[in-house]
Amino acid sequence: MPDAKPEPPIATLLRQAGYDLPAATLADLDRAHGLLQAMLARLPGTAAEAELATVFHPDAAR
Amino acid sequence: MSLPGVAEAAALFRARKLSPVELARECLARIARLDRGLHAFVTVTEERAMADARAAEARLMRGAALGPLDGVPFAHKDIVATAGIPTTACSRILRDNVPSADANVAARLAEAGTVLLGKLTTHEFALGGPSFDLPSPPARNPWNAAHFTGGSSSGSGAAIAAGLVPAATGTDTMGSIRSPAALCGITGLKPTYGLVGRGGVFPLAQSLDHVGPMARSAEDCALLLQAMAGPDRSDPASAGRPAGDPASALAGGVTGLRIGVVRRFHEQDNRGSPAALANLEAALQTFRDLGAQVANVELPPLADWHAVAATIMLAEAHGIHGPWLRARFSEYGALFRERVVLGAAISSEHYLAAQRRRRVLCTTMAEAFTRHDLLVTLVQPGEAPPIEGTPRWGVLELGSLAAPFNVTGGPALALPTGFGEGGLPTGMQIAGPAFADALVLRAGHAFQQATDVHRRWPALAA
Repeated sequence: MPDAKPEPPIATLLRQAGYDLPAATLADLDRAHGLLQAMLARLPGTAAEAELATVFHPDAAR
Repeated sequence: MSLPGVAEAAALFRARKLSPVELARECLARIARLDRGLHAFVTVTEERAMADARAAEARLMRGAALGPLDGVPFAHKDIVATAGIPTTACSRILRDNVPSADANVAARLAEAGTVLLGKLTTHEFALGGPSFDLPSPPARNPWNAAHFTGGSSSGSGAAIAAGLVPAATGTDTMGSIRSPAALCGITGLKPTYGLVGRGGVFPLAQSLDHVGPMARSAEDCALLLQAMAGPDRSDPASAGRPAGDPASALAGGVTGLRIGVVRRFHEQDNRGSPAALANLEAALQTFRDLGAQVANVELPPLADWHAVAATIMLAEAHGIHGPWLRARFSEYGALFRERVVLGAAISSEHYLAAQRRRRVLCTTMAEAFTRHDLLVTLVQPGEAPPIEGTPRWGVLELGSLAAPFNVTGGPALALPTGFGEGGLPTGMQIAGPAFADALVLRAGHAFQQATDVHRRWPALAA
């Protein structure tokens, strides 16, 4: 009997995010996940100090 | 007859050479004759159109026209809410959705007197096409129906190019106005972020989404922008300011304007086809001949802009669709669901890193605009590909030429430059700093006054 193919990393990620997807879909998403990771690698790391992306103005009109 | 554009229709109405009722009838007849093979419309509102047209005609006859859009046929992308008319986003998820109120932009255009012909095909929720597993088929390119329209405002591009309607709304998160404009040979403006309110338009990614006009010319887009722009209390990103009078500024020309060409984008990072590049060079020569100064500009690699845009888009889209995706995954089309579910794999660190990088890129672009009034690059690397062969994961693996201007939020106008090896249109985009929408339109108008590509029609529409 052949060894079972290991589950792709995206399967674990999506299960943890609340998805229960068929194996065929997960296999399709495996390649896309690789492309996504390559894209995310182009982003710089986060920093601890305050920055515009996390600034909140309590006196803003909205 | 070939269908008049917005400005041309207004002039014909004023001269009493054409009436809104005649034009609405002509559009409906063309839809009945041509749209069976194009699938640009998902809903045709014939009764509403004729009622709108009769009302406009009555106003014109008594000298009480509402403005240059009064009596002009129009259609909305099917993510723009229209009261009492199905607004489905071309998705099974919203198949029974009939809004009770118009979107801000639909209300503004109705108040300007436009004649509503119906709702236009979109990629599902404005992402992911062309799809063959949705309730309605994908739109087809009028220049060659075996080819893609671009998207996601696919029906808007096809309908205007085929002469089914002179103008329409589009939305643009990573190029969804500009891509179909370029591939269908029409003109489309992604306005400055916040200039056109998005209340009542189903979001894809709130910090990247724009609503804008699609039509046959920069002049038509300027007339439409004046009606579409302005404060929108239902959109927290609304800039709260009107567009000004971009139509009156059109005649300013480009003499003395400094145009920067972002060559690395279209020559290196996502290289254009020989015809697309040659047509772009010819357009740049036209700008030189008209008195502009054309120079090269250096910006960070396209992949950096694309990574920021795609990360933010997928994270925000998953934030919107996550609950539905978990419960109703199979009801979405495969392309949409398999792209957006990837947003679940984007962490908070990634999202914040993308927003941080976005700020840096915006600063870089702003610095470029201190040396150049406008920037020019391709919109798409070439002609529309065959509809059956579009890359499935393009959103992840290709550097979108349009996305940099969604990252910055500045205005970008797509317009045709010529035709490619396969006989389909090629296009360019003209981008400006935030709220320089009138300047971008002015440059586009100057180019279109000196050339005739935007006046050509596909054989089926002639």
